[in-house]
Amino acid sequence: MSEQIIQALINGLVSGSIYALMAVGFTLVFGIMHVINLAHGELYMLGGFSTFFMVSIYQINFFVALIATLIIIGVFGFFIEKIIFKPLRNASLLNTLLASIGLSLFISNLVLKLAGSDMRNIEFPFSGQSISILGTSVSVHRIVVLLLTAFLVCLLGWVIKYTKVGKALRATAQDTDAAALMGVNINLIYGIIFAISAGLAAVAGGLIGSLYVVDPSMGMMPGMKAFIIVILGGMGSVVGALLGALIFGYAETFTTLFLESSYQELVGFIILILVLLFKPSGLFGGVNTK
Amino acid sequence: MGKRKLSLLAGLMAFVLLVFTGCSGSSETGGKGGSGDGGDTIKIGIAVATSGAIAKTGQDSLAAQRVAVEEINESGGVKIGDKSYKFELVHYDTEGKAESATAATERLIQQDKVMAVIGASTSTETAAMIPIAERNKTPMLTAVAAAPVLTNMGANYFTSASSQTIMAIQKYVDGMKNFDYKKVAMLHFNDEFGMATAEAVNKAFAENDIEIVFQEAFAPTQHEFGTMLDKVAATDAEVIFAVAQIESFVNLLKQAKEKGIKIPVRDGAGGALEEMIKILPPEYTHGLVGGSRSGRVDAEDHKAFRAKFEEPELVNSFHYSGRDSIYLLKDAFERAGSATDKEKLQEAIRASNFDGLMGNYQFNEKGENSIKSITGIVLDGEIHYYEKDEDIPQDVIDSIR
Amino acid sequence: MLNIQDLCVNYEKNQVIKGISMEVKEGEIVTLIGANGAGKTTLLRTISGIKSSSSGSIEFMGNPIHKMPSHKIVDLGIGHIPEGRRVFPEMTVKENLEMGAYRRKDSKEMKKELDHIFELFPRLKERISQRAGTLSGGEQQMLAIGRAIMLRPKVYLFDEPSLGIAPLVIAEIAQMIKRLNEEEGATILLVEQNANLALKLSHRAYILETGKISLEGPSEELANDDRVQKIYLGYE
Ligand SMILES: Nc1ncnc2c1ncn2[C@@H]1O[C@H](COP(=O)(O)OP(=O)(O)OP(=O)(O)O)[C@@H](O)[C@H]1O
Ligand SMILES: [Mg+2]
Repeated sequence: MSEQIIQALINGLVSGSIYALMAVGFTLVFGIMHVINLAHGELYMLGGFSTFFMVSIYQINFFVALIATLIIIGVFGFFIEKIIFKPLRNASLLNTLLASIGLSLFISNLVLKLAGSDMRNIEFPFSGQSISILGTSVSVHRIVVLLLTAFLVCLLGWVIKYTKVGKALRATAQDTDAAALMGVNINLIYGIIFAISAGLAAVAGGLIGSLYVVDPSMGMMPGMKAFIIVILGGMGSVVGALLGALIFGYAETFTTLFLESSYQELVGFIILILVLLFKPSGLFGGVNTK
Repeated sequence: MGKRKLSLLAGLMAFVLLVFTGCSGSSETGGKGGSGDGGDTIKIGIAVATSGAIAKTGQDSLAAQRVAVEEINESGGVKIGDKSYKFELVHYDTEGKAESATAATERLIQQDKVMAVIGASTSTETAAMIPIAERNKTPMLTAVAAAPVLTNMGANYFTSASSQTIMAIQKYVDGMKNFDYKKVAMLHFNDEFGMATAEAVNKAFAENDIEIVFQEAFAPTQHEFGTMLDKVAATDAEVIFAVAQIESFVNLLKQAKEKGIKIPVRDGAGGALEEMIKILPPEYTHGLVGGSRSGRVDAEDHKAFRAKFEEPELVNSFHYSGRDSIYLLKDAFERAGSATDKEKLQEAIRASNFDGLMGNYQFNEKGENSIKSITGIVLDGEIHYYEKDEDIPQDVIDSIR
Repeated sequence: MLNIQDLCVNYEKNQVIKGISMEVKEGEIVTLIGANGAGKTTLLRTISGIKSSSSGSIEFMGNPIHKMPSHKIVDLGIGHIPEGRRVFPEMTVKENLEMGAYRRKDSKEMKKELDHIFELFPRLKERISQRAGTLSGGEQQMLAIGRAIMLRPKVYLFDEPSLGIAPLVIAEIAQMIKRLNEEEGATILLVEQNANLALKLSHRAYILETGKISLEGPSEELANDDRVQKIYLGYE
């Protein structure tokens, strides 16, 4: 049993870290732009496909492909913001939400048309290898996913905390008008936020695509879960999203460990209901943690 | 708007979305296989999932149904008396959801006035559709969903043209015996089909001294199997018996390999081996045994049919079942001698003695068919088919065990 | 230096600025006085480009700026100390000041600039790592002014710097505005409801009433105007 607990600790961390990549972008877009982007899961799916095409068709190294995916889908995200959300800058939350649903349907159907519904496998360099941690064998694949996500989250934290762009992001989040008065190009910042959000989701898609398989509907559940996690963490809170993601990952994993897999997909609903009942503003909803 | 209010609103929306995702987009898919040249047509309704998490089997069978309709229409149509009719397909996407499946069925019968309905992808959907067909006295066939609960509902207008789970169960038992497996880990869907199969397998294995040392259900939407597989690895199971559709099955295979799990995985749902070897490299699928529905690929009829597809190597048993369902209906219409009498059509369906690509279709009073399943074994990325278990060479068995 | 012609500004259908023309010359302190809701803040926001105008023009040093995005206007040298301070609450004092110099390219000068600000406002120096949201109102106003100085703008737009601030601090801030004008040669457009203070501080004044300029002239003159005395200075 202790072996399984160690494995579960790692499995939960892996799920949690993937959710974190998804949720952080989702919450940034909401916190700064007040847009609930329900196409987030589709960006994740695009990341899976982008990685697949590079790795399996063009034989590019997996990690290089991930970085390229981050950039390509990031740039795509930037233009999505410009084309779809910029014209809706002063529209209500509901309108942008509907626009994002439209976008999500558009992307998933487009991919379905272009690539078909077939599942694709991304070959991972260390697939099938394992190392021993505390006497328990743990898959290298999962460890790599974990390290990469941790690195990206830390990198994002560093960018937000110390770079000029990061400061502009925070300033915009805290007071858009005041940031504009400082000379922050708000439109550019919004584009950058969307790019970051899309890029991180895409990397999550590529990583998960290597662990699972890639198909046009792969983004649906993770997109929903990211939304629930952001509600759990407090809409707009980055720290909340990270913590929420870990809680979510562990809740799912330990549900499978101690109960049964079939309850795993219910965990999200239960968390959602509990949060809405007892703390609708989420864990960090009251405080702005930027 | 206050933060609290906002997140409450957001939460509610999330909830609404979770419950209704996709429902909104359900009716847009009225793809029609057209005739429109003025001749008389017979409408056939198809209700299968072509989007959502389990879209694959529905898409395959639907693609084959379209090909079959084209073939029939081009070669003189359905001959009833001295008249000849063309088939017209009306399809609605059921998205793998019972709500969408029932809506699709109502619409097909009430609005499109189809003569028969073929559906659906999952047994849960199909079970919800049967009462509607029954109430409207409209013949209904399934080419994909295969749980015994369906034929056990006692519906007069429902007939199972997909290969029967009951037949498959014996096949599974034989398979275990052939390979001399005594301890099995069973992982199965928690939907109607998965639960029913698991129950039947449990009973059959127990009667044959095959021990199920681990059993767990999971949701069809699930992709993460790490912890469940860790639990399996901690048992002394000799084989994993997985009752799941291909979407989940592929993930399961992949993560088993990633986790370094050495024991083989067996298909307990008639999954499409052809598809799996296409998706996954040989080291993932080697030793995979598919129980029930892999078609005989070497026969001439099969080859000719496969040639009609862009990627013939991907044609699988769901294509064959789909194709058979249309030809079975053609045969039934011609024997019924009417293009409009649903009752006569129903009688003719039940009285079928029809040779399809899957085998010979005859039905008992419950609407169960008599198709025998074939065993497919994947060796180094290639599928070997065996009509009888005795045909499997010992060295193949040894190399997998 | 700053020239506004026939400017109109709407919020949706609601016209708030109804054809204003005014001018601020280089080296001047000009004040704009008006009651609540007259449109003073709206006018300053329009100059800074965070509110769009519906007609009319704004020229700054010969450049039309009424169609320019706000960051370009900042580049031209317009610093805006907004109503209600609007410091970034979750950022430290230092980060707030750094944001003030966001558009400046000469980052080497930053250190010197910070020292300068701390000289002007020693109280900010003591609180350099404190979150701006936890500063007192007066300190926040100093920070907001310091933040604007970081840009070294040619024109400062002050929006009610005395709002909600104790008299002693108001005097200090007034002193600062005078100093910016006299020692550093900055041009200033000061919006105030505290007409007493504003008229004393400024060279010229405009009176804004529901979106229109009702009176303008040298500040001394206006301070002696009957109507102004009655309505804005509270004399009986
Ligand atoms: N964002 C907005 N949307 C709609 N109307 C607005 C908006 N901002 C201001 N207004 C309206 O415009 C008018 C002018 O407002 P403004 O803030 O410019 O006045 P002000 O002169 O600065 O007043 P105060 O002295 O109270 O600060 C007011 O009637 C106000 O209600
Ligand atoms: Mg104001």
